[in-house]
Amino acid sequence: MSAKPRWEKAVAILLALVLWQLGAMALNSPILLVSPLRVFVRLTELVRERFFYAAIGFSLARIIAGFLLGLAGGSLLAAAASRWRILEILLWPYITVIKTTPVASFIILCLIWLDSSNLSVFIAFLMVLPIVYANVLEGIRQTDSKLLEMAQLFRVGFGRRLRYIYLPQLRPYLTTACSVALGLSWKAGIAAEVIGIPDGSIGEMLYEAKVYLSSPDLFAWTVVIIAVSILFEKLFLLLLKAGYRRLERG
Amino acid sequence: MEEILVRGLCKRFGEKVVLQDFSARFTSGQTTCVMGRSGCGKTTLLNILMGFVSPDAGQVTGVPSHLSAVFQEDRLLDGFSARANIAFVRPQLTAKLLGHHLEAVGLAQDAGRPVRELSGGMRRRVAILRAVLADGDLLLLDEPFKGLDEATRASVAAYLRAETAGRTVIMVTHDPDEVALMGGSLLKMEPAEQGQEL
Repeated sequence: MSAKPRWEKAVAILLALVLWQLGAMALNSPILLVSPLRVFVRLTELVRERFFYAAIGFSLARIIAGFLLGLAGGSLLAAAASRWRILEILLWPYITVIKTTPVASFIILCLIWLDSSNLSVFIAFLMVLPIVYANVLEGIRQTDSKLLEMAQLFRVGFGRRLRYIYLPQLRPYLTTACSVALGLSWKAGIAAEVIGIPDGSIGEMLYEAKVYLSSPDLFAWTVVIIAVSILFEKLFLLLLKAGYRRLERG
Repeated sequence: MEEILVRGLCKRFGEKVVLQDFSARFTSGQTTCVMGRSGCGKTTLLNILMGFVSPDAGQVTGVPSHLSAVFQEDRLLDGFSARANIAFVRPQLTAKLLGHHLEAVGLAQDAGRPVRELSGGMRRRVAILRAVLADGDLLLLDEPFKGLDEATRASVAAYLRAETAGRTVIMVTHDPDEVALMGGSLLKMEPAEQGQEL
């Protein structure tokens, strides 16, 4: 689908909110469906609390760490697998298992091995790794062989080949991988926190909202997760773009 | 550098015979223009000399390890400037010297723009400059003047002649005018037949 103008997006969001408000009014049961106005009021209460920022900081730091580890690990493994085919074959079962296993199974399994406070780091890492691995490997495979021949003829070293050939050619693959993996790392990371319930995390807040049947809290925290996730994704992709601009300006 | 000897080269791609028992001698320190019609195996010959294609039969001796080339396609780093493209193969080149060469081929004004924004003729000149400045012991030129207008072609040929004097250069082309511009000895290539030195 082509990129929509901002006003179109704003109208779509406004209509969705109106529909939500009408649905809540029709049901007239805040536990089943809380109204957007009530969620907004709850959000304004939450932003005045110190634990609100502490919870965001807690989850954000861990999910970003997991994402960055997955990005680095996936890229390195893809580089190695493109160099040594045997490694790609040996990695195939692990990558396939990680990709196809339900995230809840990993979370429960990892709870046995890991401290719950760091569970979201590992789960985010696991979700990001196969996406980055597959995209970067494909990007390396699609690198223009004629440019590589040129570099070989002129006896250009690996460092310059990486900077001038591989990194620019990997740009669309990295951007796609990061865009998909960022959203997924948030979903999986928060799911890990809801199951592991580490103290002071967004996951714990969601868990408590469930226990106390507090729909306003549940919706308010969900809005926070969506907002932080989108902001982080936009910021990271902007940084990636700026990094590439700087690379090309050299 | 010893002379480059090519003996009995044969190469086929599927059913198509591109080179058949092709032999030639390229004198060191001189320019040799290999001229022939399109499809007669000129680019294949260069690819064999560059080591990118293995011949089915025949021998090549005397090719130095340090080569530079203008490829049939420009093979430039599209997102990078002309300066960066040249620094890619010769990072130690001083800005002053690079500026002098860019000026000589009329690229000084556009040297900072990404090469993807340059015209075909400008891109070709970047590829030529890169090959000349890479300072290889053997310079291979595959239709180097492709896409250049007549006036630019003459000035770039003069630049090439001056910069490659005393170096071993093999240029392939189908155009007798380009042979006349570059000078040196001429080797005519016939489709899938033995080369003949004139």
